[in-house]
Amino acid sequence: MKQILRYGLILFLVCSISAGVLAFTYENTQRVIESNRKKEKERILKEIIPEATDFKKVENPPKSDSNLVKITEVYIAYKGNEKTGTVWEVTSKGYSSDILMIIGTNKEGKISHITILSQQETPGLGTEIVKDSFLNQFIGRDTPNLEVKKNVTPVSGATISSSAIVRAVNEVLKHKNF
Amino acid sequence: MKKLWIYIRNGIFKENPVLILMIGLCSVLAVSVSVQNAIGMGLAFTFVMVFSNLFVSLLRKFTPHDIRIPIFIVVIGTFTTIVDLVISAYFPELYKALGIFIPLIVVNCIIIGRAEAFAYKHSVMESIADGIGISIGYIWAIVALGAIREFLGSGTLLNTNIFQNFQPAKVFVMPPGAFWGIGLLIGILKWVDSKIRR
Repeated sequence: MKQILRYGLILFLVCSISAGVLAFTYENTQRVIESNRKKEKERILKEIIPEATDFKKVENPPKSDSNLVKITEVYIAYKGNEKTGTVWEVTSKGYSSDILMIIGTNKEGKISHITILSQQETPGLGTEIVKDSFLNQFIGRDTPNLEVKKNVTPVSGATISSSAIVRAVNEVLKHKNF
Repeated sequence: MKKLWIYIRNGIFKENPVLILMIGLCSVLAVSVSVQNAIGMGLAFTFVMVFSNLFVSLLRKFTPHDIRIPIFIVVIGTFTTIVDLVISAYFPELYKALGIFIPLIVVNCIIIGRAEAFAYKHSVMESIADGIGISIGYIWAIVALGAIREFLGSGTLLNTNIFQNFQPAKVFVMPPGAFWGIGLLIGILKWVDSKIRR
């Protein structure tokens, strides 16, 4: 009994010191992590629609029809009072990871920009989807009828990763007039 | 002083954790797709290794034998979480590349192995020396593997092109390439070792 109490006390001491140290580190790094994230987002929004002066977040973004794609955030870009485009943050299920991408649509409802923010696809194959040579073919599309090997050229050896992007673009185009 | 130097040297070749003891291979094989990732992983590993050895050794008089493992885990977990938070705050790019493998340092068997086999039985200075030696051994192994795989698999080194017309073999950045690369390294090391001994 005494033994158990002594062990418990020692473990308790070690754990509480560790918890204290971690709380301190968390407090100090969380602010930086938060502001990094915010800065990164602002920089990306500005890059997608450079002429915009202000971005407003949409409170209730439209729901996607496919359960593999999720529209997480939508921002409407304004230039003065005029709407100049929309920025979509979308995740799509790829081959081995959730692919997080950001898609911009312009006034006419055409895709004006697409960037992959994060993905962990197969190195050397699926990771090629982040390249402009693949992504540029989506620019200017405005109807949600995209299909791999029909009107979209997939990355060779990475059809599933490519389809994930196609699916996400289709969802955005379907909901552009929400 | 000379003893400390022997401990450091031990970790680099004679008891190289990756190439001789062959423990903690999971992160080595997975992260070594490029030199940059390998260096980042190596440094994160070094921090956790040295500090966990230091604190395990510091607490060894105070740690009852029966509950030493939970205490090691708490110590290692604390430093791993610190590394995880600091990298995600100050090196977001590296954090994205290393992903899950930073939190997984906590279950890296090299670290808990050294805590149990070395730091728990040796003085603080000796444990630090051992931590440094093992870390250097880990870093050179993972960076060498990263260099082989990045050069053969992507045709670059540290993200700069080496040759103009070089067709990389993509298989080297994929899992099989990791095994071939590490087999090659171990083979070379054994060969050099046998030459020296003769």
